[in-house]
Amino acid sequence: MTVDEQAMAAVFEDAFVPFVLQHHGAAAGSAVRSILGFLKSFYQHFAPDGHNESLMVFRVLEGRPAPITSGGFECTSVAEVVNKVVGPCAIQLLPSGAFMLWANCIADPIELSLSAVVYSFHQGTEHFHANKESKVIVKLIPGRSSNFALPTFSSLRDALAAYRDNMVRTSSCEILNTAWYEPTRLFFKAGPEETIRRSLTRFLKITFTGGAEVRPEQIVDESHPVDIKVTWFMTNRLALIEIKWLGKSRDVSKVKAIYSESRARAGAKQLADYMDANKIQAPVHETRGYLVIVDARRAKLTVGRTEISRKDGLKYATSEIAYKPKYHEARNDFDPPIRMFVDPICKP
Amino acid sequence: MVNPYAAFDTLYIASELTGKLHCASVADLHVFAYLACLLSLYRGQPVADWGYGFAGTRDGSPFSPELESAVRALSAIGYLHLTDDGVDITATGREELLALQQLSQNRDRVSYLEPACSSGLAMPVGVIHHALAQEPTLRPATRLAAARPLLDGPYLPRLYEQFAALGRTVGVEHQDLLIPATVWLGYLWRASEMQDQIAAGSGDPSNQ
Repeated sequence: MTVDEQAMAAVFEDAFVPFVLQHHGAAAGSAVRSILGFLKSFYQHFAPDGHNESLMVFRVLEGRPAPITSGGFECTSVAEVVNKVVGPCAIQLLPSGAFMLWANCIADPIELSLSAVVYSFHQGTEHFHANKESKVIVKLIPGRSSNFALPTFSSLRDALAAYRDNMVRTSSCEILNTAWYEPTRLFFKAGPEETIRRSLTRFLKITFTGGAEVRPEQIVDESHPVDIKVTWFMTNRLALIEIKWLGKSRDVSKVKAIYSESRARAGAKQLADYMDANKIQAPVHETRGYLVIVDARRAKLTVGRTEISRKDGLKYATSEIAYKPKYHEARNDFDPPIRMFVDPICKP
Repeated sequence: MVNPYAAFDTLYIASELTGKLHCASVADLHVFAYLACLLSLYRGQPVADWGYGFAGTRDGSPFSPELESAVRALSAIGYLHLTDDGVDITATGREELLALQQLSQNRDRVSYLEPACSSGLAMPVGVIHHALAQEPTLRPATRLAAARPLLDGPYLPRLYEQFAALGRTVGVEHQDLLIPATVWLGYLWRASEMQDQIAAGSGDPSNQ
């Protein structure tokens, strides 16, 4: 593998740590670390998604004047800061470890950045500001508000549930969002499997901290590629994830595929077969199977239709699948299947 | 006999990760110790000077037997607390760490351990795990699905090629190792993403 210096230069260009240090000098390194450490704690208690106002966090560089000298409320803990956040806010990290909070305060990050390292969050966009310059922070998970408020999971089941609730239900993952034929999420495009797999793989790679490697499209045996394989480091545990989608896919003129409940049952059988095959390939591993059903079934959906009522669009929202046989009950290596319904955008 | 370097690194990383990231697994200790070791190589230190070695597991993760022994020993004497959720440093472990930090041999190590651990603030730990699996001497372990020693053999020159390119990209004027650490990990992460896309593109269409 040769070194792709252009790709490396592109990463450098996007990176915020070198940006701050280039504009404020090496002394800003500890300020960046302080801000990142604060954000890690702050966002554990404060969800940025519901915050429509601007939020600024800054650390004044040593020997520089404080950019805001009046007002403010001193807090001694992150929990206290969280409780007092109202409207647009500016939070100064003090050298003592305490915090100064200005609630309902609109500050100019560019002005603040003359004497401080500044992080800002506004309507889902994050920046670092230094010496009157700004750098957008590139999102690692499209659809998430903040890179620093990414949930982390040590249980694969919890991670899959979060993917269902936060990324699939309203198709808020930008990767998954490209799988639809139309913006109202009625039909999938033809062959959406690879897109769905890529979306879930990326989500798991970034948020799953179970000391595991997540790889897409892994061969179980000569004829069985499973969608995603999770291998825990330094243990003998494996997880095989099989993904199936339900609903209809189409191209310009016609429906390409229709998958109903029976597709989910076939997926369960397929996964059970994978598990058996895997026992031969990886006999010393303790393997568990996870069936993920991305459910986009809509009632009365025909090619000519471009909009849908709530009644037809959400008909299957709570329609659980009856598995026969119930591998998740009959076998001890099969997790209960997880159905992820995707809401269409219904006409009002 | 516990390797003293591995023991210090274990306590330092456990303290940093639980303080900064609020959680750490035993696998994280190996990953961040390996990243710190790589940063020392980037700074021109010989591999042998790190004090203990690493192997790549067949799953693409760095693993140090000395670090693993240190975790067990430190846990047995109450310096670390191991749970199902991960590893935490105890109050007596912190006291020991403070004492060990006074030794000059350990002060030098902190200059690599600290930026390695701070990388976990700048990017998710999951990204760091997956990015490191693309490191040139670790990558063959995954591809061949066989454990192999790291920082050794025919792939080592490729690592140094990457570090030379990294030095040219970030510039030698930056003394803060957090810069090359995050840029290099970002570069490897993109490589990991690209590899997944290639794997997905060559997938078996019968799996649809």
